[in-house]
Amino acid sequence: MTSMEFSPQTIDFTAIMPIIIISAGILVTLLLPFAAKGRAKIINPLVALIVLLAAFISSARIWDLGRASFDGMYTADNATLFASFIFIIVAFITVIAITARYCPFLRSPDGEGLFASPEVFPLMLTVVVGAIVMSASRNLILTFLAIETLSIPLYVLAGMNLSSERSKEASLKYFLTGAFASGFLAYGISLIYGAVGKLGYHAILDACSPTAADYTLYAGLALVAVGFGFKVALVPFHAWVPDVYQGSPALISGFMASLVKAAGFTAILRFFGEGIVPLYGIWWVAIAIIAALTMTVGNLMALNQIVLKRLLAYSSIAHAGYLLLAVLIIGKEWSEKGVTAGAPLGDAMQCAFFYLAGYVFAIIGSFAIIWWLTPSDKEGALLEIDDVRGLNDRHPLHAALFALFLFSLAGFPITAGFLGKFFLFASALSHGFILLVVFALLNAVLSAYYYLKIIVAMYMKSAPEHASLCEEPSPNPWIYAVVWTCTLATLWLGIIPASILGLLGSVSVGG
Amino acid sequence: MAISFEIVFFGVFAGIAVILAIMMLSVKSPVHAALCLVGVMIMLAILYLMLHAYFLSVVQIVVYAGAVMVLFLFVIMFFYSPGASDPSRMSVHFTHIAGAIILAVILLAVITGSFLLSGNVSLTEKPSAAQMTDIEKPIAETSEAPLTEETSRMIEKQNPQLVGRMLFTKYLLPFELTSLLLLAAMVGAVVLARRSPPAEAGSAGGDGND
Repeated sequence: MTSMEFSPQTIDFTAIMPIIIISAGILVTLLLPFAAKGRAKIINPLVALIVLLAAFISSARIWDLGRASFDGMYTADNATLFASFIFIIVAFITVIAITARYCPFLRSPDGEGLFASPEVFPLMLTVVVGAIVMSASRNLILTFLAIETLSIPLYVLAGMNLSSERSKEASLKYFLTGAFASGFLAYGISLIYGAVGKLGYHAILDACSPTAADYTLYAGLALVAVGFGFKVALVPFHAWVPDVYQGSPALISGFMASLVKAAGFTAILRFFGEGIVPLYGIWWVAIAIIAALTMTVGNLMALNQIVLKRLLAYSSIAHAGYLLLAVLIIGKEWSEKGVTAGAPLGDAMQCAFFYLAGYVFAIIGSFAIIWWLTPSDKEGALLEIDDVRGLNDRHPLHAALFALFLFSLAGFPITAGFLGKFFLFASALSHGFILLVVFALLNAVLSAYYYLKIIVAMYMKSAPEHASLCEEPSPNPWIYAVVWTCTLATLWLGIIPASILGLLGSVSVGG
Repeated sequence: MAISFEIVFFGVFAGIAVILAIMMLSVKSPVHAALCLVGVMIMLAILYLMLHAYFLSVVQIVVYAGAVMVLFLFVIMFFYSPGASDPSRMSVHFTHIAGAIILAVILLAVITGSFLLSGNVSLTEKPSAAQMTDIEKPIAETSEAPLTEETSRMIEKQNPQLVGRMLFTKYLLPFELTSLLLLAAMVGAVVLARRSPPAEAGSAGGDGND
């Protein structure tokens, strides 16, 4: 990394075009309500959707080009771009689902999350910018700021349902743990800077030497890992997840469970893979133990949950545990081969991204269904398994789609979840993590129990006396569009994975 | 000898910072907590000063102490509603004034100290042509290599310039991202602090029972 003469011409604007577009969108959606008054309800989400579409296109245009900007600090390689696609699609889906509320010609489910404030759109776009920068960053300062840019709007979004005490509680809890995590991260980064004198991942890579022990560096790395652990909710840094996911409006929970996890893991893979991979011999044990703990604790805690959102929250913790396998694979692969610019990302990234893509649609779909079914006089935070008993008799379509998403999360064949787990575990096995894979398989079986519990309740039990579900789930076309998109994506990834795998095969580390 | 001197000073100021931070968490009154936070910020400013980051140190005082004082006022506004018979209200008044005086004195000390320590260089001194053309060099060195004697001397001379240059060239992207971050934080604070329920959230907000 040579420091070159700086001038505006040295900035590669095509590389950062997606975030420029979305940033402009943030300002427009923020100011538009003042100009458009009442019509902002329709115009604002429309602008957000157009902006996301433009960002998607501008990302697609630089696919395979391996652009980097700001002296390698920001890299728009294919890994970044694929992650950006996931973030943008997730945001797109969520915006549409939220828009369902604003839809003038049909009533929409008002159970929770009265998104009366148009600020929800600029905040969501800010989260997307944070996520994209997080996945593109190769510098700890930028990573830190990106994580904050992602988190702060989320604290607000979690508390968006101003009429709900639980939502406020979720917001506060998320904020406090988030601030705590940022503290760890910042302290870790400062220790790394103290030890290495640099913050770029490549510089850290060069400075990392497995032979000469540098305990300041190790302490810094450990603290940074803890900070990341909080963000993607690894055990033992997971305690905030159930309360936050339960209290937040369901669509926002889905948004957090999918986008934040995807962004966090992309950043983790980049930092561990491109930054501290020479120290693989030191960190792999810790990561392996955390992975085992995360899956097991997540699944065990989910077993006895009766509130649906809480159950999904714990299951999302377990999924983070499986995804940690990818970090181990990438560490092993690259510590043996060495990282070279332009090399294919290899198994680990491919598995992780495929898993993420599958997971994202299933989890958003599940939360969207919960949101859809919640009656207007009840808080979705309290929707229990008992409430969906006999759902098949009343709303067969909803039951079927919900079951499909749960099957995908559990990893049953023909869904994306199955292939995601299959590729990930197979790759881990071929890299020699036999014990961990056995552990993960046992966990997957364990998780099937609680997913099936919901499905059994929906199909094999009779409806409760007084239905606490929405009698007539809104036939709003927007929400149909969202749920069907998730369904098709789940099936598409599960049945014809080659299309995505082909795309991922060309994912490579940027120069 | 100089090193041990530095370590002693570091120990003292870092220790005070830690104690103040703990006090900030343990005191009951939010006003006292905010004051302790101001204290922590000032201690950090002194640590920056010891690292020869004079400009940063002054900025720390001006921005943080200033920002925290605003926060401080907000706390009083939100938590001590007028008319409520709160015994701590009087003491708030006095601590406020006392805090302001202490801050003013420390600010003065820090600013004059920074000038004294940095020699006769004033912040408004115009850089010579040689310095201007050479400016990329110290930037590259500070970010990519451990400090050499020469570099640290150059930093001393052109601290604000250096910070500004770094901020708007090498670290332009993080800088811009920060502005986005602050915008989001501001919007978020407004959204969450809005008192009226969503149904009456103003003309722009739309109503909740569509």
